[in-house]
Amino acid sequence: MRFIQKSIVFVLLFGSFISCKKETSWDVDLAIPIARSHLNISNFFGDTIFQADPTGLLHIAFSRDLINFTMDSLVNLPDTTVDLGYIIPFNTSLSPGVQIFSNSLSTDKEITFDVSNGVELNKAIVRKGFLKIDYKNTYAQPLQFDYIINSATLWGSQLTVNQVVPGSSSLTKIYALDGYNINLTGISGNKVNTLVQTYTISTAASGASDVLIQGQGLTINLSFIDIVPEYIQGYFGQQDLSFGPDSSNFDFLNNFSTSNLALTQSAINFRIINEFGIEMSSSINNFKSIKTSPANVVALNSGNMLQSINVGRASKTNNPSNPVFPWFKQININSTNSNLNPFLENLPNYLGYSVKAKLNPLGNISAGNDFAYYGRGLKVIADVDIPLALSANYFSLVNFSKVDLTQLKELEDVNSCEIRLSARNNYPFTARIQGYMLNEQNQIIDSLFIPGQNMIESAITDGNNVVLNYVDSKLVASFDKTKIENLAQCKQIKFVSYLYLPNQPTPIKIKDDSYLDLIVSAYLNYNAKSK
Amino acid sequence: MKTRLILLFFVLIVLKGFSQYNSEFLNFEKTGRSVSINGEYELGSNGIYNSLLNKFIYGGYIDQKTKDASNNSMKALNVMGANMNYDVSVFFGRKSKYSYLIGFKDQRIFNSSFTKDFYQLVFYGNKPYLGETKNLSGSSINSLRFQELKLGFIWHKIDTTAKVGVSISILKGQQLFYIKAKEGSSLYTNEDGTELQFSSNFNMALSDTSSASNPFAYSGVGASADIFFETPYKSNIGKGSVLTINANNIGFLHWFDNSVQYSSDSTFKFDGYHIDNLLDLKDTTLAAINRDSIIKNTTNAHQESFNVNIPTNLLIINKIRFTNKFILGTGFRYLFSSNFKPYFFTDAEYEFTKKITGALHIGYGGYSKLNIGLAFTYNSPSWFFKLGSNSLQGYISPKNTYGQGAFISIAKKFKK
Repeated sequence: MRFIQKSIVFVLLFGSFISCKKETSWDVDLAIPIARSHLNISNFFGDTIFQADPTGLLHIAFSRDLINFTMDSLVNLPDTTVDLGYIIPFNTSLSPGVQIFSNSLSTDKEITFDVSNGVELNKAIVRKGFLKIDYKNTYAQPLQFDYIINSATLWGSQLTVNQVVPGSSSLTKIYALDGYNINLTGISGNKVNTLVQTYTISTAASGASDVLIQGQGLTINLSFIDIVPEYIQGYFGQQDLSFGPDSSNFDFLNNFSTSNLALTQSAINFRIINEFGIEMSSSINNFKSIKTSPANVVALNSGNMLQSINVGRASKTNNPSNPVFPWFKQININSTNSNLNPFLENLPNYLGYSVKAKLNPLGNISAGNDFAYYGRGLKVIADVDIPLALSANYFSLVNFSKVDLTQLKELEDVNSCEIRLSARNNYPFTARIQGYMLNEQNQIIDSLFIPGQNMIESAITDGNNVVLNYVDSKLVASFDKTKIENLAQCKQIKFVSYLYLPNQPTPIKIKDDSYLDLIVSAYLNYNAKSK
Repeated sequence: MKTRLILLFFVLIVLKGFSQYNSEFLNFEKTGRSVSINGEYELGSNGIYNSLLNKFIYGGYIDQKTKDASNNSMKALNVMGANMNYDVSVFFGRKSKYSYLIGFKDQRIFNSSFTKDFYQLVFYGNKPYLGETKNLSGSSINSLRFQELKLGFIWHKIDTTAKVGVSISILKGQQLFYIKAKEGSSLYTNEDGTELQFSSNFNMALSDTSSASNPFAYSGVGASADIFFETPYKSNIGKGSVLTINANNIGFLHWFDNSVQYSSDSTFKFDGYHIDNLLDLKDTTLAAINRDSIIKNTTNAHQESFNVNIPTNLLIINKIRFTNKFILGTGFRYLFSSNFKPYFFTDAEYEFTKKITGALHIGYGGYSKLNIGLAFTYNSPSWFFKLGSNSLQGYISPKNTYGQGAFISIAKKFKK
């Protein structure tokens, strides 16, 4: 037994020794490829706004919708409610199946919609909507309600409701109006916004003979709700429409700045597309280039080119799937007929504008044949085109990359590191790049490159800044233990790049085949470990 | 100085204590029926000095000088190996001609071949070798750990003095790691470190990795046998001779379905992650590139069961008794299914007293080169105690020598 005890003690002591063994470590020098990229100008902006023309010159080309005004904004059919029914003035004994009221002789044969802005409609096709009827029968026996909207037809059939309302009860029914073609000219055919209805009230054939006591009868509350027209026709009145002031943002320029930027040419093509069957007179006012930081506003001065624009009416194609021939007009504002270059050299974050339009400026010249289709409307689109033939002292770009290296435990074992950036630059500008490590409070805690050792040299150019050949540069960012610890703690890296243009003010041309090749590798002195 | 060396030796043995040549039968002549604890370890390389190997045993920082020493002396292709095992064994029985054996043993077997280039990549990295192709062909690692339950007997009075022992073992596989880089395997780093080119032509096999470090992990099963034969014979020299032949670990391990095999015969070029958009460095881009996915995508990985042979240990010793106190033994040892080089040795035993014997061991080959060792035996009617090392040089001058090892046996003899 003592032998076994001693043996166990021996094994435990041996096990303890093994488990207490220190870590084995040694240093190795590693050369590791990290990343490579073939970059063009769009990579710097992260936007698909660059297009090449036939000569290969790149253009910043993008479109912004200034107005997209559709039918539902032009004409709104309000929810409309009318009360119908019949209350008997004296006691009457009734048998089943006997008509007790018809509106053929009453004054409620028409329903008029209160359409705002003076709009006078004579026809409408319902895309979606409902007829809601609340019934209340105070007679002891069931009553039959037969209702027809004579003005509403679907595939040639009028909208008909035949409802038995049980005795001494109330109920509510909802009927879909989708697809109904509604004539809004009333009984006479020369009214507007008016439909025709007929109805009768009878004792139901399923009931029994009884006495309808004075004050009893059937009351109806009839509502047209949530009407969305597919098509409307009539006279839309002389409405004054106003859009804005409003703005359209240019996100891609938020992190971009420049010094002494001069564009050689630029253009904004305003496209006015009218899909309404209505004439208009329109103006685009207060078109401004708004830069927020530093704050600066440049108003577009293009004379009267954007004022009193006569907008013609669209016409019908009689093709239900594409029912409109739109009216179309382009107004080209460029650097020769306006101050567009200074306007764009402001590098706006936003474009400010307001648009005014007057409907039917000459009155009802269509004789009530203005029209509008669902989803169609008035659009004003600004197409911006800036050829990248420009001069400037420099451009600066600021980008942020989120990093989280807290999970990369191996970083703790890096004694020192050199991040090596090999660049092949085919652009006619010199780039100075720097990365700032930011902590959680967005405070700079360290930087990647040593100032003066962070330049990517420009391509070789001739006197006209035409690129003749690329130039290779090598940048080295050295990381000691402290900088590595800062890198491990940082939450994002703020990259600031300055692009310096040569031979200013001679413009440079950014071509489609221009590129910047980057190869990133690392030399590490790493403490390898073995347990 | 001598005293200090002896003290050092004993301290090391006690601290790192681990029956010589991995056989329970070898000591039976001295212990008879008994219960014993035996342990041994041996570690050696013909390319890496003990000073560096010691860092992997005792821990610590491997400095440049230590790395350089091995690098400057090693050949283009080198070997390294280690065996460590301990066991509890009982010889018992009532018959006069034979005894039974039952025992439990834990074995770790590691052997490796490595090119000098492989060593340099591991200990220096690839940066000092920009523009060079580092040859990895022939590099291999074979690491096994398993436990065995041993049942056997020894017939110890065949013709009054000869002995024959046989045991069979049921093996429980704990861990296997095997990789072999075949012809054509290399790593090239271009001149500026921006491109790595890995020509991989290798096979790899792993046991169930989820439980590799758990000593109770049951990742495989197997069987093995040990054979022992010892006979005295008359020779022209000396007063008598004894020939001993022992072969153990004759067997295999079957690794279960969760084991994984990889093979690759491709060239991979890595020149960095290709980034198309500077502002869209998604985490998923990096997340997709991890060790597991790279192995899965670049190798022919598949899970299946398979068998491996365990390295069989063959030992032949011839002992000649010259006087009543002095015996000279010569021997040969070889490990099959490993890169163990043939090992030739001689043991000079001197009996100081009836109970205490000392032995000087000199050998060449194996995992290392020249080995010199000492062993001491205390043998009383009740106890047997053996302590020694066949590679004492590893403790005396680790900076200049290859190989180290130690063994210990403690046996409580049963009353006759």
